Amino acid sequence: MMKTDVVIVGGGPGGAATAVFLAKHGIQSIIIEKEQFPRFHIGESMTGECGNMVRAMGLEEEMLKRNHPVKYGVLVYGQGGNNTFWVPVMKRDEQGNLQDSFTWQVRRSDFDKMVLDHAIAQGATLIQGQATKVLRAEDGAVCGVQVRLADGSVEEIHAEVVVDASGAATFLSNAGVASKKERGKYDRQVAVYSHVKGAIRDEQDNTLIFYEKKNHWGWFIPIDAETVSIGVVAPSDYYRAYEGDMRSYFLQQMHKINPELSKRVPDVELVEEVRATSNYSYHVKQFTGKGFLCVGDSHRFIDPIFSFGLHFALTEARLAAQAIAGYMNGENRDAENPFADYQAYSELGMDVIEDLVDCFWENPLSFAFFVHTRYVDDFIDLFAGRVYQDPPSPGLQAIRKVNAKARAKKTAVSAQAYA
Amino acid sequence: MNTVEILKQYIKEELMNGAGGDLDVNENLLASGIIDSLGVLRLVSFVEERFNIEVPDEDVTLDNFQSIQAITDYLTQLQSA
Ligand SMILES: Cc1cc2nc3c(=O)[nH]c(=O)nc-3n(C[C@H](O)[C@H](O)[C@H](O)COP(=O)(O)OP(=O)(O)OC[C@H]3O[C@@H](n4cnc5c(N)ncnc54)[C@H](O)[C@@H]3O)c2cc1C
Repeated sequence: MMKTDVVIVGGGPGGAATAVFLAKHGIQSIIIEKEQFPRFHIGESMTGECGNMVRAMGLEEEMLKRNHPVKYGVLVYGQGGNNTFWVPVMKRDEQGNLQDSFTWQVRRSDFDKMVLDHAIAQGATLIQGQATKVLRAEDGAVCGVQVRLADGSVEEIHAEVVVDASGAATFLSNAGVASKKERGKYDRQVAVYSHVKGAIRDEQDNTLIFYEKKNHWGWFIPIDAETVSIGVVAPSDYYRAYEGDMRSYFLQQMHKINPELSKRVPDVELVEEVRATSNYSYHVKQFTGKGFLCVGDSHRFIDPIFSFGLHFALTEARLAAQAIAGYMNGENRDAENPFADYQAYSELGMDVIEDLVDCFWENPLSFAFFVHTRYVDDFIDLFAGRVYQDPPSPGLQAIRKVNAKARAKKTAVSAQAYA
Repeated sequence: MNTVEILKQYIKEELMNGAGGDLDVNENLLASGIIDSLGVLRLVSFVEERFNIEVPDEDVTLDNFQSIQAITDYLTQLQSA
């Protein structure tokens, strides 16, 4: 049996960053990771605030040394390569003014290992193994996990708090501790992706998004000096209707969805296997309680279109560390749910991004008008990941009005259909 | 000039660079490729300025701006509201 302050399931960015931020509060942690790093992972483009989390972990210098392509913004191409819009990465200075800034695009195998190594350097302990069970105290509170180690032996780790950072594996939800996983709105989608060499790159290495039609799009994300990550996302039915293997589907789509994509890949070499992820959109609504909380993908993933996965993994890691530090210092010790505030706050931010994504798919014209003309700065803030503002910005309120109207219309239409 | 003519003139001169013969009021501007969606955005801004109104956030939709007729109907509805 081992004992520590906090045990973290998963050594991806969410888990490793939680350990880094806990260490800043003087809190000990053990990270359990089942894979040997470096390992492949998708999710390579960061928001501005995600970059700031990397800085807050003290890793900016290291990032620049490793030559991860710097990202100054995201360029979205409309259908046929027309109607582009550009959202620059900008930060708010102390007076609240927008300033030019940048973030990164990363090769995840390299980035994730860097953050995990950093966590260990800050004092976290890494245990290679798979968390298999949740341990509970007499009063029902979660008090640790059982781990199957690489050599097959089983170890119990006791802790004050269990942090689930297991990503899409949703460890605590599967264990029946957090609530059941519900389908997300963008559930019936398939992403097919690979890494290529030989792509034609722009002068500046930004993240490019290509719109083909509703729920059908692609990405182009430079991840090092030679390599670009390319992905195509389409409705599951569309993908299933394709006759041929995944690799030929990928190559076909790369040339089909948008001329702005195909002109960048006239002659490329695939340097990674072609992989697919489907049904990636889900929501675990109750993800905190006595002795536990979840960060990042372990409780919710919405949609990859505007690159918010790493963002939430890292920002929630910091919020979780704060909440845990408070708890270790005696706050909320007797509360029914000591981490209720953390949960509410995390949901608030993710809800904002779901609203943003909904508006983009349901009402592209309103979206374009807001981003181009009416709420330029508010959209810069949203894309940067400044999603916890209270009260909501006029731009966010506008999105919500448009979404509400679209929902009302849908309801009216289906009511009519059944009348 | 009435609303229809004002819109026609703007679309032809500013968004189609003077090209295009007669524009049908019911023609779907986007779907028929007469203008692109950035053109529609300019159209929204033009309507606001020219008719001295502000189009509420939730009204910047394709339904309201897809054709000259749609815009005219929308303006009538807005002014009578
Ligand atoms: C198609 C697609 C494209 C995406 N594009 C982007 C993008 O451009 N930008 C972006 O920011 N995000 C993107 N994402 C999202 C991004 O991949 C994730 O949000 C991000 O990796 C979440 O980090 P995490 O730390 O929560 O989970 P993960 O990175 O998945 O880490 C979880 C870790 O837990 C380990 N683990 C799981 N179960 C156990 C267990 N029982 N015991 C021990 N270890 C365990 C796993 O091995 C893994 O290393 C994309 C996602 C998809 C599906």
